[in-house]
Amino acid sequence: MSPIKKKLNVIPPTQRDKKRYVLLYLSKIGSDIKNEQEIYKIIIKNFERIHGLFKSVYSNITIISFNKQEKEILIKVNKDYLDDLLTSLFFLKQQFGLVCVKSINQTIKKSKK
Amino acid sequence: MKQKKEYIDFIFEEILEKESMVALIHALEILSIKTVYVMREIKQKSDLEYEYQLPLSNGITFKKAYLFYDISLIPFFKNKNKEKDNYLILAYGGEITKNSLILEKNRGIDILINPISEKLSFDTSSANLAKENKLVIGFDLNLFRDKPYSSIKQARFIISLLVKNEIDMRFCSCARNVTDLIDPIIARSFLLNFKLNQETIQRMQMERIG
Repeated sequence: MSPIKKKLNVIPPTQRDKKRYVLLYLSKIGSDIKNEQEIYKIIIKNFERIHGLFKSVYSNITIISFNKQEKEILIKVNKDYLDDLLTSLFFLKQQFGLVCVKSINQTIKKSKK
Repeated sequence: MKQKKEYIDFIFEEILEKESMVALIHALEILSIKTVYVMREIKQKSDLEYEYQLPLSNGITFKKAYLFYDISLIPFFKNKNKEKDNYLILAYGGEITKNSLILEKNRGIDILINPISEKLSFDTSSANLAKENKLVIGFDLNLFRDKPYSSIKQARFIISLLVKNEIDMRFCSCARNVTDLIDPIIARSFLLNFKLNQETIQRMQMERIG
């Protein structure tokens, strides 16, 4: 009898989804927004409203970092859904005011430079 | 080294009164908007009585543009300003009769802004007229934010007509305050949804008029 598998196999790098890291500047962050989770909720809810549930799942949007003082957030997104994420940001004027894309990079390291 | 892109945008004169110049220039700089057409709204004759001053900035070029809601005022304006130097004449569209009047020959209008109303108000004959008279059709991107369903639905049809007839288009923020400004990268992604290609969008975002 073969031993019970306890760990998942690692997905080879060639088969992993390609990601992009988007660094955003937001001109307005409400005082009620305290952490990444709240920012994530706003972004994902808006994304789902614009593009639907399936795209929001596949896009794999994650907030990597949130700097409230500098008004900057770093978002990870599946490369194929980058334009969909940017389109959804178009509709976030009420929540974040002026949204500016500071950089789009392939790695976190480059984004934080 | 990769050259930084330089974009154009149209904003309302109102923004100069509402916002501090420092905040406005900073916002335009971070968005790489280097040419700004400042639009004065002309709703009645008295709006033409006084001139307005453009702000001065090292890296950003400000230009004058007059947005007419009533096109019968254009001849009066032209009589007053006989030398056409460095300003654009824009007309605000709406219902089909208004759009048709704007699209007529020899009106001296450079851009028809927002040929969108409650119902569809732009058809093949309007597109033909625009092509004949070499008019540029402009769209206010903030209208897509405020009334997304009706404006996207109409723009989808109008844009496909304009592309088919090879008519020049412009997409502008028509900002009344700094938060109305739109990052050209975000605007580009939004416009890809209208089946426009990247090169066309980039040209529309960067090419000056007049």
